[in-house]
This record gives sequence, structure tokens and C-alpha cells, in this order.
Amino acid sequence: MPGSKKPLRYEGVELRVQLVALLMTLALSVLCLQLWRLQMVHLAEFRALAEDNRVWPKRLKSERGVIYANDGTVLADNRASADVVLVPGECPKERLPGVCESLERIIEAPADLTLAKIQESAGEPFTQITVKRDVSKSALMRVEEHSYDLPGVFTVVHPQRRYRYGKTAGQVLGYLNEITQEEFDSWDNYSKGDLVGRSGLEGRYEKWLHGRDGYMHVTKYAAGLPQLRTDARGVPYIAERDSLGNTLEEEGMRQEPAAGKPLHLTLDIQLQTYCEEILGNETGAIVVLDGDTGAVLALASMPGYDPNIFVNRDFGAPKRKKKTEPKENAGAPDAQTAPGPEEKETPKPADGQEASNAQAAAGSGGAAPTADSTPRGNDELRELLGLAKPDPSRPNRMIHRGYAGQYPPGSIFKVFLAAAALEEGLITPETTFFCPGHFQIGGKGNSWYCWRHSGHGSVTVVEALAYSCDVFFYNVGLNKLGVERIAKWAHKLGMSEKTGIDLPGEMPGLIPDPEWKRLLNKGKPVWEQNWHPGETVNLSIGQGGATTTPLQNAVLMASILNGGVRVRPYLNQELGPQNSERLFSEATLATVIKGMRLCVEDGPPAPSGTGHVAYTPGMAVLGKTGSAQVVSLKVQKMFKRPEDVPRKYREHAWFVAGVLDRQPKLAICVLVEHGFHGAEAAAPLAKKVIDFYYAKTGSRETMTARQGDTDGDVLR
Amino acid sequence: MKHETTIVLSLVAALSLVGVLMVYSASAVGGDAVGMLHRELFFVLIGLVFMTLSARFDYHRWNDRWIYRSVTGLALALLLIVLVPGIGVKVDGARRWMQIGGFRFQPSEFAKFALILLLAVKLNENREYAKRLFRGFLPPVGIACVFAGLVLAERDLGIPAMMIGTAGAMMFLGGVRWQFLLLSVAPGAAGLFALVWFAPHRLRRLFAFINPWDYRDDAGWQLIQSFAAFARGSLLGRGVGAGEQKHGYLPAAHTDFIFPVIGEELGLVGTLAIVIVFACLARTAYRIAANAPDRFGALLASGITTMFTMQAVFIMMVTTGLLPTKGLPLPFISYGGTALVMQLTLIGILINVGLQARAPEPTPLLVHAV
Repeated sequence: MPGSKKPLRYEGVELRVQLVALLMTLALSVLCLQLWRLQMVHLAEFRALAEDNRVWPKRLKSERGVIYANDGTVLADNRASADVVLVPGECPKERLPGVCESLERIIEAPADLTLAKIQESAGEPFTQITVKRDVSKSALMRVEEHSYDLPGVFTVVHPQRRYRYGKTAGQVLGYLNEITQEEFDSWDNYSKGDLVGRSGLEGRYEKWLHGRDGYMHVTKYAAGLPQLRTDARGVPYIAERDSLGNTLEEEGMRQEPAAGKPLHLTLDIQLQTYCEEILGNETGAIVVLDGDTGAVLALASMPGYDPNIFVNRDFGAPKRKKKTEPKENAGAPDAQTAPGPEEKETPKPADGQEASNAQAAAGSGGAAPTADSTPRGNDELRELLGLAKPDPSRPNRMIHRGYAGQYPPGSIFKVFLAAAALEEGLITPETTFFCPGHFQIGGKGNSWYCWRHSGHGSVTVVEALAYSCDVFFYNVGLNKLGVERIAKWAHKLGMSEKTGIDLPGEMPGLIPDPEWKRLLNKGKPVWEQNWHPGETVNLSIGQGGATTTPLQNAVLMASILNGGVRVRPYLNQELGPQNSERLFSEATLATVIKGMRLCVEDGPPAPSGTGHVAYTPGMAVLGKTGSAQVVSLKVQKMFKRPEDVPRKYREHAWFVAGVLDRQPKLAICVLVEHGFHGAEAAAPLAKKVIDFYYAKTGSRETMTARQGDTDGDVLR
Repeated sequence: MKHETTIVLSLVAALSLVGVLMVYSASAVGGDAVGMLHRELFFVLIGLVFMTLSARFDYHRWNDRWIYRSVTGLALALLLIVLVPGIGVKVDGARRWMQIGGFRFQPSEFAKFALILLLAVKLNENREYAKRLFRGFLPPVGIACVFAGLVLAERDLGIPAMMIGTAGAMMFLGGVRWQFLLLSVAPGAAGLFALVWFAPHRLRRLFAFINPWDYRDDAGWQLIQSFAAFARGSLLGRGVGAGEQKHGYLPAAHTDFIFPVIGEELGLVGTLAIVIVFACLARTAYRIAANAPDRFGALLASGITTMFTMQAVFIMMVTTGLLPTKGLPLPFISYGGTALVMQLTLIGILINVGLQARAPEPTPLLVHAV
């Protein structure tokens, strides 16, 4: 038998044993002391601290301010969005797989995904696991029906932004996105995960629309959250008692959330809808202003996007979700361009709960039975946010072409030129220039052509505007005004600078001048820095590097209509009009108006103007066509017939129009990218807008803008 | 030594009885408490069977090379197998269990026994070289490190800590140079520090231990609820079954954090009684070790005693906020099949050592100490 008779004995063993014993005794004594401390001495203190610890402030999310159209129609509001959540700790473990399968059957939430989520948060059984976001009302009811078979499954409700008109005015309203870390650090009254405005009015009026969150003190239940539940009517409440019957909500510890301020717009939603409709599949913009005030009645740009997509996106979706859901549009890249069923129908304001269902259905692309918004939404989102590979053949949908698109103004620039030259007294209504169909500087050198190669003969400024005579304006620009004065008036009328509309991302356009050219070509040879007379000639008909936005041209149109003041366009009614002093004399305006009216006159006695399509009997309509070249004439000449010119080489079609004898005076600017000719592509749209608007409203008084206080807190 | 074995048996029986009662109470919060009770009783029964068997099994036969080798080999194999996904069951992020039929088996609990056995064998064999570094000190250190490392790979820190502590105590009592042990404290501490520092959840728990109130919503939550349970219990407690903290407020109430439930329901009287019972149990068990018929028995008995005493002291200190939160079952009391069965089996071995003890000497060396 191994082992000695004397078990542990060796030199010093007593000391060792005593040491071990001492250590044990010490530990046990400390333990006893601590128990004494906890259970007898600091009893009250520990109890209080622990009680205090149980109370936990639950954030009550505030509702974002509602955005209204000028007639009080709701454009953007908030709906109750219901999520189905699972609290694993409240469901017997062995029943969890069964519950997950039931959920798959009832609300089509993949069971393996739910189980994976449960596994991920296995350490915190009382956390809420989101099974499915934004479920439809019918799905919600099915969950309630089966609630007996679904232990631990609850529904939570929170406000979610809803854009009632979908794509209509989508770019103007803008979209929401999750707050960034920097914003969260520097802004007050925001929480992580909040959605904040990223563009359009949502971005511009973020602080105005954002409310103040409230809170409510609730008793924390284990390591998880207190249970938000919904009653039969879908109203959320916090579970009041735990399994012992202890009250969970603390009395008097509640502060109601304050909703964000409402935003009343000048936008006429019917007109806006109509404008987007008539633009159809074209790429372009229609801007309609109240000529007297600058109130924006319509600001349409196509193609656009539906801001609902950004809201419905499931931020918590696991990344591997791709695997379980086959890409809907794989192999059919054009499937996205073709309008889906929900895009075809005219957007109608849906009310109440129907809308939330419609949203869920819209998110799934209509055809798929699932109400989950992720598949299509994510692909579209990727495209919108520029994450997907850009398709050069498809126009960018994020840019609003009305105020952020910059285009050479072409012939509509002649209105500006005529008004400036008349106001400077450099020409009179009687001044004539002879148009032989071409123009040479000093009678020699390169030729510039009039669009009508046979020439217009001897024309006055009125006729030049009506028939869009290029040679007349070559003369005015080069020999009368000169580039410096063009630059001066460009500044006065707000060309090449922002109009100041209350939208972020406005572009200023550009009217070139010698100073600009010198800076642009700094370091290059002198002849490249110098301004050449030929450039003034080009500039005179709105070419040669000049760019403007449709909004700027609408503002110019407005100043012709309203007696010569420059308006500041605005969307928020509370801003009110903000006009400059008079820039033009009555005489100047009378002449320009005469020219622009003649432009839309139809037929004999005088020949039809270029904009005769917009002629409206019994209404004083002004107009000016424009066709802005995007490539040199040489390129266009490579094609024999105009129809052969590829779309991307075609001119942008412009039309500015105004209505003088109605209230409100509409100032309209239509732009159709590569529309070829203003008279054919853009003028009919302006005519439609005029007809639609006045047929709809008849005589309207409601257009008086709300004269509210215009103090600075509107501005961020 | 019949006297001591009777004391050990009755103390263990008392603790197990309290355990069954408190586990039932702590799990009676919705859910299937009766099913839980049945399982607990079933494990106690299995444990008693194993205890009877091991108490009747001559402990010297554990020193048989085929027996201790197969025990060690089996333990190491199980520790490795449990790491294989599919065989090992993952619970709360750690792969520590094996599913066998309707039960979960925890190889690390078995490994604790294998380690004690192997160390007892080796320290007994090497007693001539106990004072030497390479033949006396490093082999047991190596053995302990292999076992602890394998358990550590299951993402468990509690049991490896207990293993290293027990190994240290056995080596100390086995006559290894104390200077070596003292010197190895520094690298051991460094290793522990690294394990904590590079695991965010452990670091968080450490900070939460230092000031739980700053982490009241996550890492400090359990400790604060534990304090609350003790405070609510006060002197006499609220009575068995009347505790509130177990109702979802105190996580792991029926397993690692059963001591606060005892504190709430049985009060200071109950908690002190538990501490005293453990102290008496340790004292008696060490006396058995001291009076073991030979060195192997003494090492075996002292290893077993150190293991459960250390674990009990450790988890009781954790729940009272004296040590950073680290889950370990309270021996004989907490719910947990493998742990309970293994503990009772080890008690059986201890009893066998006690039954074979020499007649007590007039002045037993260990007795007056502990």
C-alpha cells in the first residue's frame, strides 16, 4: 500500500496548516461582518438605494410636427407603428421554439431568425426582442387573437412619420435618417436612434418640427425593460404589476411629451400633384410662385422619391437577412424603373389606419404577400443613397431640379437682358436692330446665327422677345449693356446667387463675368484669363457657361408680374413675403410685358409668337420660350434630322410664364431636361398648369399668406 | 473517526435540505417550480447513491494507476469534447454543458475531481522531491494549468480560479516550498489581470463591483439586487417563500445567487447559520484529512475540503459584494445537477478517508488549528 504512516507530517507543517486555517477563518469572519453590515446596520440605506435603482425613466417619444399644405391638407404626420416583440424571460424555455414557429405562421417572421435573436441576447432574458417591425393592423389582431398561445409576445407602439402623399413633393418635404453621433453630442433634447431631417423641409425645420420627449418613471423588471403592451384598442400602456403584484409605474413621476410645432406650407398640394403628373416620365422641374409674395405654390421635380422608404427601413434588421429573402429584382434591372402599382395611381390622402396598411403593402412592392418593407425598400434605398452602383442612364432622384438643378437659361435669359437694357435706358421700345439671320463682331470674323437662319428683319425689343430673335440680343448684350452691366443686373435680380428659399441645398447658378473668368483660369496664359467679346455674345442668349435654376427664373418672372420687386420665395407660411425695393420702372415693365404677351399671342393679325401654345383666351398670359444648348452646334449638326439627335445632346426646354390679371399672379417656370424645344416640350406644360390652377380655384382669396411673426427661431 | 464522518454527513444533509427548500422557493415564481423540485430531488438522490458507492470504495484504490489514469483521461477527453460545437451545448454564450438524454452534464465539475485526484497522486509520489523546483513544484503546477486552461476555454473563469486555488492549497499542505508558491503569485495575478482586461464583460463586472451604483442598469444590477435582498431580510427574514427579489429582480436566484434569497427569506440568522455550518464542515473535514491513515488520503481529503470550502466562501463573498461578480454554485445548496452529484460523490470519498482513519492521537496536529 503506498503512502507513509505519517500522513502530512514534515517540518513546519503545523505552521502551514495554521496559515490555511487562519485564511479560512479570516474570510469567514469578513463574510460574517459583511452580512451583519448588510442585514442589520445599513439596512435602510441599502433598501432605499436598491429601491431607487429599480426606478427607471422610460422615454416617451414626442411626435414630430405635422406639415400642412396651404389648404390645411396634411402632408406629413405620424401614425402609430406597431412592433411585435418577444420577451424570452416571460416565455417558458421549452415553448420558445413553438412560439417562434407560431409567429412565423401568424406574422411571417422567420422562426430561425427570431431564435437567433433570442440566442444573441441569451444573457438578458428580459430584453425585448423585436420580432417584426411595423406590422399591419390585421397582423396585430392576429397576434392578439393568439395571445394565449404566445407567452412572452407583446406589441409595442410608437409614432412613425408618414408622408401621406408618398412621392408627391417628396423631395421638398425631404427625408429622415438616424441621428449621427456628432449631432447627438451637440444638440439638446435628442436621443440615440432618433430620426432627424436630412433634406428638404424636414432638414431645414428640424428644430422646429422636433418635439420634446417626455418620460415616465417605471420600476425596472429584472435586467430588462418594463413591459410596454397594447390593449385591445391598440393603445400602448406599461404593464402595471409584476408577478407579485407590485406596482411598476411610479406615481407622479411622469412628464408628457410635447409634440413638435406644426409647419404650414404655402404649397398647393393639388397643383403640386398635377405638376408632377404632367411632367410624367420626363426629367425636369416646374416651379410655380405667387408673383406678388414669392409664396411657393408648387415645386415639382421629376424623378423624385418617396420619403416613406427612409422611415420604413428596418434599422435593426440583421445583416444576414439577405440570405433568407431572395432579391426581388435580380435579373430584371428595369423592374425598378417601371412604376409599381402604387406609383401609378394618383396619390390620394389616405386616412387613419388604412394608410398604415397601405404603407405596409407599398413596402412589399404590392405583389409579394409579406408585409415586410425591407426587400424593395432596401434596394431602393441603396440606389437613392448612392450605395448601389450608379446607373448612368437613370437620372439622380435625390436632386430637386427646381432649386438645386443648374441649367443654361438659353433664350429665357432674354427677358432679363431686355429688362436690364430698358431700365438702364440703353434701348427704348422704339430701338430696332436688323436681323439678317447672323451676327458678326464688328462686321467681321466668326458668325453667330439667329435660330431663324433667314433672319427676322428689323425688330424692336417687343418683337425680339416675341419671336426670340437672337441677333437683337447679341446687339443689346455686346454693344449696349456689356458684360459688366449684365453682371450688375444679375446680382440685382438674384441670378448667380441663392434666392433664399427655406430649403437646404439650393444652388446659386452662375452668370460668368471677366472677374470670374480671371480667377477660374488663374496661372494660365493671359489670353485665357481675358474676357472676349464673343463670350458676351454667347452670354446674351443665356449660353456660354451661364447657368440658372428654374426657381431663379420663376423669381425673375415674378418681378415682371408684381411691378418690379424681387421676391424671396418661401414655403413656410410664417416666414411671409420679403420683397426688395422696386427694380424696374413702369415703362420698362410695360415693354417687357408687351413682348412676353406677344410671345404667347396666337396667330393673325400678328404672326404667332414662339410661345403661342400657352395662349389662353381671356387671360393675360406672359411667356418666354427657351432652348438651351447642352453641346455645341457642331455636334448637333452631325445628325441629319432633328429626331436623330440622341436625347443627351438635345437642348433643355424652358418656358417661363406669368399670369397678370388673376389673383394670385402665377409665376411659372418649366424646365424639361433635353426636351429639345421650349415651345414644344415646356410651353404646353405651363399652359396646363395655368388652366388647371385657375379652373380649380376660380377666384381665390385664400391665397393671402398667413402673416405670422417672422422671428428668427424658424431658422436653425 | 466515526464521530467526524457522522458530523460531516449530518452537516451535508442539512445543507442539502436547505438547498432543496430554497431552490424550490426561488424557482416558485411562475414557471414549473414543482418540476424543478422533482429534478432537484432526483439529483440529490443520484448524489446520495454515488456518495454511498464512493464511501464504500476504498480510497486507496483511487491511487491505482489504471483508475486514476482513466479518471484523468476521461476528464480531459470530456473537457475537449465539450468544446466541439454540436456536442457541447451553448448556454449564455459559454459552451460548458453536454446534453445527455434529458439532462445536461457539466464536464468541468467532473474535472475538478480528476484534478484533486491527480494532484493527490502526484504530490504523494513526489514527496521525496517536494522541496525541489523541477520535480517537486513544477509538475503539479503544470497539471493544474492544463486543467484550468481547458476549462477556461469554455469561457468560464470561476472554476479555473477554484482549481488553481485548490491546487495551491494542496501543494502548500503537501510540503512544496512556500517561496515558489509566493513567487508564482505574481505571474498568476498577471494572467488573471490579462483575462479580465481583455474581456470587456469581465472588466465591466470588475468596475461594477467597485461601484455598483454607477452600473446600476447593467453590470451592477445583480449586485444591487443582491444587497436589496439581504437588506430586506434583516435579522429574521421574511419567511420561506415570501421573498420578493426572486420575482424577476435578482437574476440567477436559484443557482449562483441563492445566498441572497436565503438572506431575504431566512434573515441574518439563516445566513450566519449557513456560514457557521460551512465553517464546521470545513473544520471537521480538515480533521479527517489530518487523521488520514496515510499521506495520499490526507492530500485527497484536504483537496476535497479546500475545493468546496473555497467555492462556498467565494460565492458568498461575491453575493455580499466582497468579491467581483463571478458565477459559481454554492456547494450543496444551489440548483445544478452535475455539481450536486459530484460534490456528494467527493463527500463520499472524504467519508471513506474518515472511516479508515487512525485512532485520534492525544494531540492531533490539525485539530486545534482549524
